[in-house]
Amino acid sequence: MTPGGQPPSVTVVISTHARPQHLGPCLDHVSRLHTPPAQVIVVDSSPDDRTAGLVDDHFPTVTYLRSDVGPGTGARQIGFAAAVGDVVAFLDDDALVDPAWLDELVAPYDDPAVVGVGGRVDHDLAGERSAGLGQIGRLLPNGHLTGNFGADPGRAVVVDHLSSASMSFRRSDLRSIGGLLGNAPWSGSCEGADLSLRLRAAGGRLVFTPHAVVAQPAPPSRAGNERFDHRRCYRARRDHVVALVRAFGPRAPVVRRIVVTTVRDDLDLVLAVVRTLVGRPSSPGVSPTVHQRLRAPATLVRIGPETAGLVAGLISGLVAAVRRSPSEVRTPTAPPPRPRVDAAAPRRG
Amino acid sequence: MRVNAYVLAADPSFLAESIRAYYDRVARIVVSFDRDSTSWRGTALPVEECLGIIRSLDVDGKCVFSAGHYARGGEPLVDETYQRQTALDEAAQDADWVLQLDTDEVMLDPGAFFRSLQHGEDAGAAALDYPARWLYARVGPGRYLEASTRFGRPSATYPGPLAVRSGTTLRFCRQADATLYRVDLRPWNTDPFHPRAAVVHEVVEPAEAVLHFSWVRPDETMRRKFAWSGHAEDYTRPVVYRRWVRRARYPRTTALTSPFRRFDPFRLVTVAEPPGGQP
Repeated sequence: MTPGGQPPSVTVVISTHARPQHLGPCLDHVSRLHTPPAQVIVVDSSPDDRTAGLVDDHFPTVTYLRSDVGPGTGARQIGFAAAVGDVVAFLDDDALVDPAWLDELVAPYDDPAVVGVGGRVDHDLAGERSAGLGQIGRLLPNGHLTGNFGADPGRAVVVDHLSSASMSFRRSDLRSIGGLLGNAPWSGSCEGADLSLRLRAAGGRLVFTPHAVVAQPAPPSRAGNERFDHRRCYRARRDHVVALVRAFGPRAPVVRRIVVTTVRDDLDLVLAVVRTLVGRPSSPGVSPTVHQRLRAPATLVRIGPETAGLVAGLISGLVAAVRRSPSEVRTPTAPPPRPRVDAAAPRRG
Repeated sequence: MRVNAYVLAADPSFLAESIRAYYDRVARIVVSFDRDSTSWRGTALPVEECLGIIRSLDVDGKCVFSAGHYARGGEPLVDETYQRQTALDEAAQDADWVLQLDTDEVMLDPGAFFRSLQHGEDAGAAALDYPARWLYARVGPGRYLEASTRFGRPSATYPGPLAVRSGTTLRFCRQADATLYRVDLRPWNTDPFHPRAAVVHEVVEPAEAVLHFSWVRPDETMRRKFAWSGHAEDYTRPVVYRRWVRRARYPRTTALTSPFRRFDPFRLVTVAEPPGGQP
């Protein structure tokens, strides 16, 4: 609630990059919310005019902003700078909100200690509602970050970080921690963890409510594409470490612990490979086949990207920490609207 | 958050210290006992002695005495589960959580325990796995042999969730198939009976753990405990008792040789008395 006893007003920020086929249904679902948001902002970093045309033709109440700094953090910064709501909610451009999403998302803000609220992300995967219950959005003492944002604990629970696909924050609290920091290596997927951990480090309380649902189809499985997996492995570890260093500082115990945890995980991997090679059963009565034994060493290749990601994350985090100065971290003001034939200024929804 | 507790009245050792630690923080304590003073294995239990101790410390009238027939002659651990479930159901009325500590388990820092319980509640958990430090023998005033890693680091043990949400069904003794909030002594699992990669949600200091005076008993009581415990099948082998006597007699040798033993590593620790002391 606001000091006047009214529910907080909400600005929804959607960052998009050349995906009008996803953005259309996303905005369509937003327009069908039980309680409409005070403002909807689309920040577009597409190289073409298709998104601008879509917003212009079908969603005239939506504020369209152009991002020339690429998708992800920079685009969200632009949206945040233009937001006027008490709460700023960030949505992925392929997320389809439930009609009650906004009402459910805003409800936990009745508690003044709550600085951020995230919703359940339904990937339509078998068993995801019960997977990872009790480990939703946790920063574990060993430095690991758990996700499980598809789980449904049946009630709102306190978490350490939120999913980038559906997260919201009090605008005043977000501003008090310097807004979205631009000097990050990621392209947006780690934004939720970064913002959440920084707010948690500042003493804020974050809530995950399973009743605020967005549907987001799971990306097609890319298993088997080793090159992609290694790249993802590297980026995941790097972004994870950067988020920890930015939130807690390079000397925080949790940063040391993630280094130890990575080394332990790598050693466990080596031991598992050795066990497979010597034919030790992985479970009682199940010995590895010859094929499994021959393939086992291949999994060791994962250690390379993991370690490289760890080192790169530590360096990037340190650089980000050193560069943290008011002139560099301030939330940029919205750039001039993208030149359009039929619109001279952004529209406010 | 309203918290109740249940205890099984059967063993007077450390009973008062155990209940006193959390007495002020719970609304009601269900005291479950066998009306025939008989154990799950059919041996005699000092139930009246236990009830006397509990009555003497129940200054606020929080304890509810609940008699039943639990020596049913079946599998001891099944009977134990039945008695626990009966007591749990009774304690769960009007409560959000129910503590289920054995009477030889003493909270060293009740504030830390209830803080973790609140964190578990906030995280949506239905059971709290809180680390217990397993004490093997008292070898002198304030000196104990404690289960540890091979190189003398503290090691947690988990006899079962020490608190469960109301409405929980126990699967086996104190174990339940419920969403766990797991507290440990280090950021990485320290219990050898859990998988190495077991998730740790929170870390507490060893001084904030629960002390489990499991085998801290005089010789005579130890022999009796072997007879009444649900785990008696494991304990009654002569070698287990002889080993306990030998290790309690030579604690330094026991601790120093721990790195060379595959099982049962121990370290020598100092524990304040009370809560420790002559059982």
